[in-house]
Amino acid sequence: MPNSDSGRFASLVEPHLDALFRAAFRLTRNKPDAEDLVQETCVRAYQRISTLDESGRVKAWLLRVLTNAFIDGARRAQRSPIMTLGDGTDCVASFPGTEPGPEESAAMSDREEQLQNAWSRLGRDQRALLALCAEGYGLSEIAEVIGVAEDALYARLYRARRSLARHLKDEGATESETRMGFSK
Amino acid sequence: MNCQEINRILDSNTAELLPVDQKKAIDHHFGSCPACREAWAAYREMSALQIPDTPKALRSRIAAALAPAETRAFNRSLIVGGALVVGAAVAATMALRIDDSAPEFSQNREDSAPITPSGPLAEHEVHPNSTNRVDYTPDNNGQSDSTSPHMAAPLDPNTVVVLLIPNRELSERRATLLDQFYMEILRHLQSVPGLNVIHPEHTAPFLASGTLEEEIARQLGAAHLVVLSTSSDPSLRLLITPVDVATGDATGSMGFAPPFDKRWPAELSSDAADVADFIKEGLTDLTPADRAAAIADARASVLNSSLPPGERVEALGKLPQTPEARTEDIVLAAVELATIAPNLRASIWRAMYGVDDPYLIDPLISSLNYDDAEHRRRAAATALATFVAEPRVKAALEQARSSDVSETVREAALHALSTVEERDQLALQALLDEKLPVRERLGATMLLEGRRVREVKLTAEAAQAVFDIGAGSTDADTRAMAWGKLGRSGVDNPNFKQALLDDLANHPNIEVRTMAAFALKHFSNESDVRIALEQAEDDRSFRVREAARIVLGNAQK
Repeated sequence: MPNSDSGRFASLVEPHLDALFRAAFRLTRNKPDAEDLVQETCVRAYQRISTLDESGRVKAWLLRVLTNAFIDGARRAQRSPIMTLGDGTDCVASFPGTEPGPEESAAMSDREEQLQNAWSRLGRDQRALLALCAEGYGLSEIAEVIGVAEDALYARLYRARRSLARHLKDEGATESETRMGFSK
Repeated sequence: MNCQEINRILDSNTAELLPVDQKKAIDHHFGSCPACREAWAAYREMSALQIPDTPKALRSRIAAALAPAETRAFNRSLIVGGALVVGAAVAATMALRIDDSAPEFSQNREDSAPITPSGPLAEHEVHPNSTNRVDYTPDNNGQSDSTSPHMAAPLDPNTVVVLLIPNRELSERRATLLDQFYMEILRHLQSVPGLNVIHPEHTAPFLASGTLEEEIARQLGAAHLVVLSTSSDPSLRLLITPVDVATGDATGSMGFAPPFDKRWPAELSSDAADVADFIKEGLTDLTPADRAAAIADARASVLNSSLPPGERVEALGKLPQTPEARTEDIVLAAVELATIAPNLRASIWRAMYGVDDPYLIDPLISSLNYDDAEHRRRAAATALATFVAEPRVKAALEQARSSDVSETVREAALHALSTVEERDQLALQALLDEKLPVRERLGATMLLEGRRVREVKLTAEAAQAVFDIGAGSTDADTRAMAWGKLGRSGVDNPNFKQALLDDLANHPNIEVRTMAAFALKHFSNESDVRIALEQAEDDRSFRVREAARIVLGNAQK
């Protein structure tokens, strides 16, 4: 690929790199894997740059590549083309990782660890959904990134939150009720 | 406001934009609905976790990865080498799958035949539950008037709603293949006696009206919901999510990446059966009495000439493939239906596959010779396999094999012409042939297992060969495949037990542990096996836990 493409790509991606890293960190919950995921995203996106309409929404496109790369981590790690995602525990060892790195572990409180564990038990699709939501993206943007109808997102988001709460409960959480609030 | 409305508000707005009355409504709802309260609290807590700044080195790292091609390739393989290795593993999996479907061992064409949009389930007189009590119309233009999902009408535990979320970005070819795959899944689900399946055709209007998925199921009185959707990933991953409607919880989730690079991979039908089994395991727990009653109902419907043909054919498809269920009067009714409803013939011939009643021969030959639709001729050819010893059947099949305009009909005829014994012999030969690659040998068992791959037994000799392949293989894929085959074999050779127990307890591969659990079902009445399965209920993998739970549950029954 000519260098001009590389330059064009850099100028397209640079403004969104922070957003990509934030989303990647939410998904993976550790820095090294988040960095790997962003890099993998950029490599993939670069290879497909010819399919990008420059007037289109670059950020949504990049986020889509990123979430696909994240979800692919589970798919690629599976022997069988059939895989279970619901529990999420099957995916723990796959790339990119879902375990906190040493840096994160050291700084992590018990409660954060519980949250981390609950998060890891979610399916990757659910994590992608909640991560984008937590990053403040609107439903129409998330629908575009995930590739499903906006109307279908409501139920999925609700299910994902319910699953997270259930896993958190399993992790021995008792404090969550005192921290509720409905602002986004 | 109910849960649906509250969560829609939460997802659609920010606190700053919410009117005071909505904030109060949310508080009020949270006060009375712990599920919503806890779900939202957990999400909020997760959202509040800190995120570090983007590492400065990341930019240069990416720049290096995107350097000109020759160096980029090196950098990429260095940095994401793990991913590339895993990618290679996937390629190997695909190779395995292709081995599995090697032409000489391909499954019965009946199972592998594509169901086109004009195929059986699109033969629109067949509507699952067309006599169902449910009115397939969204309430209030799709908006529920229930105050809480928990206050909805009782849900029928034997009814499942299937929702199909369209992905408009798919190419036409992929969309068609996907439809075929979903139709296969539906066909398998519809064949479960006593299970009412509400077809996506009936639920599409609800989706279009914006009704929440669980709410659709509630309105239709179904205790179970299955959402079929696709990721927009270029590799096309199908997502299958069964949901317990009462709780709104997914009972599992399956991602599936079929090898759609082929025209219609033979193994796809088997995959669809696996997916359907996965769904069934999560949603139905019919008792034998339920099943018997359902079969009796289905028989009565087939024989009731005052019912529309579509309903009768649907009922025909629900009858199990046993001589007790497919009696002479049922065969006569099937032939009658094929005459009065020619557009439903493919479904009828499929339902009659394996029924050894000579009354079927002439209608089948006639259908093979004269039906315009390729899928009907193909179904007829497949069903004629039962009568291949009859000279006129053989002649008709040979004629079709040599001169039918459709390749798939020619293939079906060719397959039907070989006898069961010939195919079994060929497969067993391959299974025992140590010169062949092990995966090809295991692939041969598909033929030995027959059309109903989950039900028909392997011979003791074949099972021993499968075990030897599994036990002798250090490759997890092969080992898991072998244990999976043993699980379906019906062979309870005690020599197999210890290796399966060891793998269930210790093997690092999830698939191997899962398949070992299933294969141990033959020994589930033995105390050491029960203990091992009970321990496996605490396995870190959801799939292994589920497998152990299912095996133990079945053993108790």
